[in-house]
Amino acid sequence: MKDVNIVLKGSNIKLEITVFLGCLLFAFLVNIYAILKFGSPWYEVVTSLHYVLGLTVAAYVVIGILRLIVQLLKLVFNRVKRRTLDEST
Amino acid sequence: MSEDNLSGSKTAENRRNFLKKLAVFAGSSGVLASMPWWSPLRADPPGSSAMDRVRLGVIGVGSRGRKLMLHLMQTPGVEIAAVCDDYEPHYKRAIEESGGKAKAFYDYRELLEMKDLDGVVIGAPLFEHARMCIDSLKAGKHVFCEKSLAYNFEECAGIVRAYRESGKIFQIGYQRLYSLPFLKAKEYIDSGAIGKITQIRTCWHRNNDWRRPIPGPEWERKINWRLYREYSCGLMTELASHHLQVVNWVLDAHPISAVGYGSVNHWKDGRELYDSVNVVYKYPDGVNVIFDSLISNRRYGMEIQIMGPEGTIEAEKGKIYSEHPPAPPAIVRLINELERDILDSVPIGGPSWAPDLETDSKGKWLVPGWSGEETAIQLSAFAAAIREGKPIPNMMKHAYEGGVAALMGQFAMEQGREIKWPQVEGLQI
Repeated sequence: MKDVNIVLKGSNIKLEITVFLGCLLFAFLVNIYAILKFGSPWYEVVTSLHYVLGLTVAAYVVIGILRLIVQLLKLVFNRVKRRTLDEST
Repeated sequence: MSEDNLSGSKTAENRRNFLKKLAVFAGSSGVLASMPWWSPLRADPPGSSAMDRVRLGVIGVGSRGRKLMLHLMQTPGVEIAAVCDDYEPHYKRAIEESGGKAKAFYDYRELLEMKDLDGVVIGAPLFEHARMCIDSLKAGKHVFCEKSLAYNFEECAGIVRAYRESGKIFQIGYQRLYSLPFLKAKEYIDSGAIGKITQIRTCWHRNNDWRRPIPGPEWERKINWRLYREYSCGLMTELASHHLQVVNWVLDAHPISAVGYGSVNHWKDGRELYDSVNVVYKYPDGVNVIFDSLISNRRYGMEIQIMGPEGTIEAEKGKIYSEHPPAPPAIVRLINELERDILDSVPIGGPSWAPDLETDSKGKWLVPGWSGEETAIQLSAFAAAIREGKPIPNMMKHAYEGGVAALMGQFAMEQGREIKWPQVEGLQI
């Protein structure tokens, strides 16, 4: 079996943290919007933090799947493009 | 001490510790105001001296009577001095299980002649209750009688009269009087937590033929007495009686009248008493109480649903539900709303209509962690009352009103007419 070395660069980690923080901000804002919409008490900003965290993880997973699909499409597109160039030369 | 600590007590020593906890709990004013029949439990657990010992005889040691006897053997300060049963296998088993120390009788009247016996515990079939209770009280014995009180109105009144004349202690086998969740339910009701009670719905469903094994056909009526009208009033006196006592207690009233229908629609095996009953009781202030029971389906089990405009109590489950439960957090509501918008179908009747299905509120436990020790508490109270020599407050009232209410339902079904609460002249309950 072929060995595969996965190298996690600092820039990758930074990107993932940024995406996760973006999701956290999104979930936090959703909670604020819900509190305003239903006229709920403001202490729910704190008491609903576990829901916010849950929504963050869910959003991160969804975005992760979307990014994976984009990467796969890019890969396929590049292969097709390369094959076309090879055939034309 | 918290109410949670009152759960669980299996061995004799545990039971002694349990009684110590109970003494503190029962001494609190809140308990005594709602449940004065707990007052004998204020006493400390008895010591081991002969003076502290209560000597009891158990009459009828079949199924329930045997359980009571085994409980009593675990109760500190109680000695099983005599056992009685006219069915040989039960008679022999009782001698064996009581360690051979108890005197054994076939005839309860001989047992009552024992001078050194403080009281009796009656676990015999319903039709025997009246004469056994009356004879025991007349013989100067304190009486614990299994529910329901008696076979007809006259017999119920007869027991009350004998009790008044004797001045002895009387206890009836309504365990819910000693249940903490029921106490808590009563407190919630009195505090207005569910509003004024508007309806009570009670049910007791099982799925078995209600038969006990018999050694030969000649024993059928003797052993399966609960199936025959000559000896019992079936589901009403054996099951409904418990719930009707609770209803009388929470409404602080007895029924005005009863109507109902009953049938043998599944177990057509020669039994005379109904295997399916539906009875409606009319109580003061326009409150109706529904009892239904069947022994061909156990999906809904047993329950007492006490309903008011502000909430519901499911007393058997031990839960209270508000009609206006607190809303979930805003973020959960938002997600639920999105889910509904995306996933829900629009009913044919139009989007403004939705079926009135059961609400899915989870409710709140009346007494978290309660594991049920009602029979043990009740028997301890009986023994403590004998030791104190003081009657158990309100006990005969519960026994009489619960027993009569059960009979009203049976008579209403049998006679196909409304049965009114019997007015018995000069009867002091």
